Amino acid sequence: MPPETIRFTLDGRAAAITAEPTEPLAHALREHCGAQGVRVACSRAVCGACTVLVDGLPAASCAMFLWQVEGCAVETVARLKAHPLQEAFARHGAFQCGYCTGGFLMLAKALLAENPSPSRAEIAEYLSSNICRCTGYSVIIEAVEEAAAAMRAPA
Amino acid sequence: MFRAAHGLIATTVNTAPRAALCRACDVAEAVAALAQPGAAAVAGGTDLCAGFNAGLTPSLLVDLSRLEVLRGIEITTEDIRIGALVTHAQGSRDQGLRAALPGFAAAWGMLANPRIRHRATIGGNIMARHTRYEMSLLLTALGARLVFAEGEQTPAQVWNAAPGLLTHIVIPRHAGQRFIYMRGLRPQLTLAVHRHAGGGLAAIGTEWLHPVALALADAGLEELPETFADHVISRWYARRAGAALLARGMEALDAA
Amino acid sequence: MSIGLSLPRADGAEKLSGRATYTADIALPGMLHAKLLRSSHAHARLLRVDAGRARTAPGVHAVLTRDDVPEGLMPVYGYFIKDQPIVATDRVRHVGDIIAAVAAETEAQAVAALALIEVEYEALPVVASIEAALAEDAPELFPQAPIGFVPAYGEGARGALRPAKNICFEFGYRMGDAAVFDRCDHVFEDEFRFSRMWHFHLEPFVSVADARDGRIEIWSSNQNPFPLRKELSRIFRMPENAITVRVPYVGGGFGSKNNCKTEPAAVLLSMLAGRPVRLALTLAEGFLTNTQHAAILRLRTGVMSDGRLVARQSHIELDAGAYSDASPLVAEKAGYRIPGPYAWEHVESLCRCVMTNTAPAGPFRGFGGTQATWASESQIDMIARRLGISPLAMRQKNLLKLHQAYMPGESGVDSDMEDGLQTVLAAIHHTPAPDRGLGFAVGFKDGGGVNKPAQARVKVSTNGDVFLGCGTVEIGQGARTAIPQIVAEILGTSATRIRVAPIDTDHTPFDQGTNASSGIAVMGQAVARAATAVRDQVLGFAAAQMGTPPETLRLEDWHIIRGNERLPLGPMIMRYYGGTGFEFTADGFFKPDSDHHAPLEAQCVYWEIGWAAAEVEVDRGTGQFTVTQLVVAGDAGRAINPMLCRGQDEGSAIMGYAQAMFETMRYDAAGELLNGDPLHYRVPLAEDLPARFTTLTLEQGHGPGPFGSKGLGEGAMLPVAAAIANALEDAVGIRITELPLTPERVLRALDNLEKATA
Ligand SMILES: Cc1cc2nc3c(=O)[nH]c(=O)nc-3n(C[C@H](O)[C@H](O)[C@H](O)COP(=O)(O)OP(=O)(O)OC[C@H]3O[C@@H](n4cnc5c(N)ncnc54)[C@H](O)[C@@H]3O)c2cc1C
Ligand code: FES
Ligand code: FES
Repeated sequence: MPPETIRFTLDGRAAAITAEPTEPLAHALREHCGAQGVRVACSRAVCGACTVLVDGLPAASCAMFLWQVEGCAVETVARLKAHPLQEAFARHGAFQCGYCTGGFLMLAKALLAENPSPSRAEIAEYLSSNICRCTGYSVIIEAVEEAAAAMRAPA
Repeated sequence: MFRAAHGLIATTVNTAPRAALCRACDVAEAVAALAQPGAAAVAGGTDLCAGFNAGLTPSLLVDLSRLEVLRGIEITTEDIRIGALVTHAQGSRDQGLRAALPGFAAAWGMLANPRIRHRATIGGNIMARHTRYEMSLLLTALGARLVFAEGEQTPAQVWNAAPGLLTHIVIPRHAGQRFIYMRGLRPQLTLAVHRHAGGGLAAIGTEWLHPVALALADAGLEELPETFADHVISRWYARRAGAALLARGMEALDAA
Repeated sequence: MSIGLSLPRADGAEKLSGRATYTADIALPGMLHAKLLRSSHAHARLLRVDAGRARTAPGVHAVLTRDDVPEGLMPVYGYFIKDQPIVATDRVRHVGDIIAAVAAETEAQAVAALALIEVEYEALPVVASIEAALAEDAPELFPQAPIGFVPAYGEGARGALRPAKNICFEFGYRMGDAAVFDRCDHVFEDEFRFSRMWHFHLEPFVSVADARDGRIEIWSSNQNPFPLRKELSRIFRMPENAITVRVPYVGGGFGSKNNCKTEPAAVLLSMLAGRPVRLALTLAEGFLTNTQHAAILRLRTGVMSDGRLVARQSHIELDAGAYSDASPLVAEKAGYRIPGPYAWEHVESLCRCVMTNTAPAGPFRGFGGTQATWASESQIDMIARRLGISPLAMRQKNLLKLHQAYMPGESGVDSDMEDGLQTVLAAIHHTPAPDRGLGFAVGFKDGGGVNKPAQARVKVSTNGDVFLGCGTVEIGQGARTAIPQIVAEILGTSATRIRVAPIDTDHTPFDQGTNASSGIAVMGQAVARAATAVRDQVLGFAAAQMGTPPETLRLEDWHIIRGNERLPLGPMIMRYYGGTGFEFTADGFFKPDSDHHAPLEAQCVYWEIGWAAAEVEVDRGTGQFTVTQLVVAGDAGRAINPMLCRGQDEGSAIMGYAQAMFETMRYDAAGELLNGDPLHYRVPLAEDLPARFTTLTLEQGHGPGPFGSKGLGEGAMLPVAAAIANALEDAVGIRITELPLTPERVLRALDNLEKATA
């Protein structure tokens, strides 16, 4: 397959990767774009460590192909800068080894975009998309609750 | 991890097969591309990586995303016609479907998880042919037909056959039609109950077995095949717990 | 100033931005990528391994099979028994055993080349379970004895290599006279089965090795860099100072990343290729690399009618899998811990490691204590109910009191057991209802490892900037946050001024490993001593400068405080050492004293306790039950950082909960792992949490660590499964003695109970 130039935006900047369009997205992001925050664990769409946002929706980048993001806005954890979620994760100790953390932050960002006032049960359901083996989840749920409140508060 | 000729080899996103890409613009092009040896369709793509891990090495990926005719849900008095590319998120939130067959829309909305639901499609769920994926069971209970570009099949047939392009799923409508999906014991055991004025059907499935249709009157699951057991649950348990689920499902439909 | 504060984690900036470097992020110039070919047979002779076609495949730089291991190496590894080959030689012993490795320019090329390797297997009979391996006609898995040794034991304890066919090691412990059984009013014999979990650390095993010019440099996701260095030195017959082990952030381990795994293969490939090599396993390969120990535990317990415990004999068989790995150590712990936190007149334990054709079992959070607590705390409840005594009263009567020696020659327990139990019972709001029940249990293990040495170094610059060198790996537990808090407290400075040096065995002071919940209680003591020594140096220096006795001085924010005087240290230092400044440096060391009276040759550093109370509700139609409430407590002694303590306790408790409810590896009789992939191996998700889930960090204050601290991270896992099984009996009168507590087992037990009472 001849390489193609695939254009999309990555973390707010224009990106153009010349590669085989059937490359898995996680591979392309890590190998061609230096997106170190995209962690690959299961390579099977199960764990969510590689979660990125594609046009605002969460997706396992190990289970997408490069061509599928053509013209899309792709966001990784590197997009977040002093985001209320990061601050809440820090305050609550919502990460330990950190391998799942980028994926959870992106997942939570998508949740709060979809539902700015989620209940605890809604948060738990949404976060059940990804796996964290370290924390036991309560602290992640609490951090998302707090970030949601902070983001709703008038600036 | 896949079984090569002489041992096991683990694959990753870095070892994905180098496949060509066909961005099919219409059904004919997709069908032609899929007829080539080594071709595989891509709907959401959420399960293909699992296929790669299991040793699937397609040489051509056929992107279905441009096939607008495979999207959307049409509801008539006769039936519900669901495009193969409808995602779980779209389907379960579809107003028409929720009005016509709320139990099914609710069940659809429970599959997988929010991250998967945005991308995964009803067609991919069926065609992934994983006993752990549930759409086949739901459609078995509903007596649905699977419409391929090449012809029609039942959900049960798909487990064995190698069809080409799934375009639609057709669920027949009935007077007094009701549906409930009992998923609390998942993944070990799940059961769907479909009832209507003229009868109905239940379907039972496990993590590792093809779903089996059951007569609603079979309260004790007498007809459950002798072989209905996997390494997680026994047939004894499938019958006992299945009977409890069936009774509860019937009761819930009565109450609804 | 620092102790007791929930300071945010020091690794937050890196981990929350995605910038943290894990081993998979290490890239060296010219680095190759390696992949492995694994056995598809559980047990077979290797008649032929032909890699000819792989060697000439595109991109391939090195192929490693049994024919490629250079002469003169010791290509086997293991903790006490060196029985695991880098690549299989004459046989394969489990599905997934490593047969060959290829290093190529890309992983894809390596995979393609591996597929060209031809292997001819001659299938051998498979023993995939403890029973099969112990059967009369079972094949001998290791016809020749591998090199092995038995650690030194103290009073009452013993160990033996290969005491019987397919048993690589046994541990025995005996105290008191077995004749007391004759005096017992009742003797109860029960058998328990413990399931096998996989760690499911999210970061797969990965190492990057550069072995050229007579040196080895290796980056690895490994919990004990120094033992790894020693093992590599032995295997490759190289001096330890020719080997440098570096450990970046580690993405979880829970025990699996101890000792040596696939590092030697990466090193050997790099030697063969003359280029750096990255060997990254996949998550799914983890299932084949290291697991928890399944176990059969038979307990014979003698009691008086009033519930007083008198004697316990235990016979434990651990499924060690294909290679010994840490099994002897786990056997020692399971065998030693099985009496639980109770006072006995006689104890006799035997724990044997049974080799099977399944993945090698090794360290797993709880380390034999989980197996022991499951059986012991189930049986205590069963006995109480049989005697018509409440499970609480039974425990109250027998629990060891604070400071009471666990066994003769052993240290006294340093938690108030009953207080912990009352705490969880007070925190669970149980109201009785039909089919609802309450259960509880006390988890118990010795903590801090056996005879474990640790060293640390603290340096302070002219301006009061602090460097901490210590080998505790940041694996998620928060070592890089909590340990600096100890230093900060002692130096009177802020924890944010402390930089923890990256781990590099050339510079980092020696540490035996990040395991056994030893970070605070063992390494913490070494660090505290180093910090105290530095503080004393600084105060001594200032005292000399000021012509005043050091006792009159205090250190605060890098100022010397004397009464109301507050003198900055920087100028004082430069006046004496010159304008380029100086660093005050000191080392600290800790090791429990060796003691032949102590059963394990040194007294236990501290006791790691977990208390759990669970409430369940049972659905009699399907056998499904829900844990409506779960309260778990651990004793931190003193919580250095309460937020981190909570994180450890919750993560640990949820692992115990998952094991009770559903999480298990399933093997068939042919040794095939049936759910060894991330989709089918079920781990807990956020929605699986009990409706009410609380952990409590107690601070009873009796720990030996800095400021009265103890370790935690394992204790909260121990009691959970037994507490839930006990709650099931309370709810519906059934007793399940096998994990996990599946709905099918519950329904069967309900049926049997009905038949028995009909
Ligand atoms: C982590 C995870 C958890 C999941 N949990 C559940 C669950 O709880 N319940 C459940 O029911 N499902 C579950 N699924 C499955 C999920 O719901 C998806 O339906 C499934 O992953 C495939 O959808 P897809 O559209 O992405 O298919 P793809 O990955 O695009 O395709 C899957 C297969 O179907 C073929 N295919 C796709 N579309 C067509 C077509 N129109 N015609 C012919 N062939 C086609 C492809 O060639 C491929 O072989 C889970 C999946 C994952 C990854
Ligand atoms: S690595 Fe992509 S979901 Fe696990
Ligand atoms: S923090 Fe380690 S997996 Fe979530």
